[in-house]
Amino acid sequence: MDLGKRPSDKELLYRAREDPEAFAALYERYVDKIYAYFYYRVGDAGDAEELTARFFHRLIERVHLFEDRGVPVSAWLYRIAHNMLANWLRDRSRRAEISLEGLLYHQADGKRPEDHILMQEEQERLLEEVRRLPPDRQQLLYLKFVEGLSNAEIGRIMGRTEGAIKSLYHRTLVSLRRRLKSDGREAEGGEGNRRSS
Amino acid sequence: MSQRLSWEDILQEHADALIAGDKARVQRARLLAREFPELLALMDLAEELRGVYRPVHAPHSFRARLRQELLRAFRRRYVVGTRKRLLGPLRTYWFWGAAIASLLSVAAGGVGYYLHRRSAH
Repeated sequence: MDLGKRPSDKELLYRAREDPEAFAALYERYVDKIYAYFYYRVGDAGDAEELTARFFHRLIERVHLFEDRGVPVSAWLYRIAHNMLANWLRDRSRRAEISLEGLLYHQADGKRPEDHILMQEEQERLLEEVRRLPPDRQQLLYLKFVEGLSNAEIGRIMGRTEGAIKSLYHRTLVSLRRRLKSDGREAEGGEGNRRSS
Repeated sequence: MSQRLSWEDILQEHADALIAGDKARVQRARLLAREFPELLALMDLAEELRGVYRPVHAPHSFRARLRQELLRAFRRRYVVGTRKRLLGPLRTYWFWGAAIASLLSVAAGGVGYYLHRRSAH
């Protein structure tokens, strides 16, 4: 391998079939992303750790199954994660039990504690509503706002066209806004444009 | 319908600008939406979402522990797989070797017995 060049995901994945060091490098590259994916979807650090561990153990078993059909490695990995999460949620019926406690702990930013609490409450409400959205919409928001992926990349992960993702994004925002409005959020603190509809 | 499609495009441009952290582009997208309060409200919501979704990192101790665990599991699986791959053909050779050796020994016994009988007569 060229020492000066960072191996691509595909190179790493192919090498990871037999080389533990390559698998470890792949792990380092994706562990935070996969953890964050589960963390935002289940809302609990312990569950996110459990799912992340399961994901990588499963990857050891499946690493030889990847076939290069033009789909990015990240798309393949997120599909595995998505399927695992769907099974996990179904098996445990956890959706109703999701705890948001501590989810926003990382947002300490020097604000006054009371401002921080208010902001956190507002954000918690927003995330609660996000979690009530259908899984594909949650996944879209995560991939867009956390991973910063393009619609084309999100489409490859979710098995949809770029146009379909664009449309889904619009519908997701509309539906989320409707839910927030019906939740009375507007009356409490909404301002400016949000009131004007 | 055409308005709806153009809303999708404007929202997309707005989201791309948000993700890129390009404030000027965000403002341009908002200007495009200035006549549509509902669209501006959706942009506000997208901005809130962008603020809520921050990068999250796996705890360091968990990462390190899982790494060790995975490397052990990987090596175990790889060693078992390699052993199977190497021993698989050997097992086949052993089986056929033993079968042929058994046949040869039976044949040799038969020949020996025949020669013994013949010399005895």
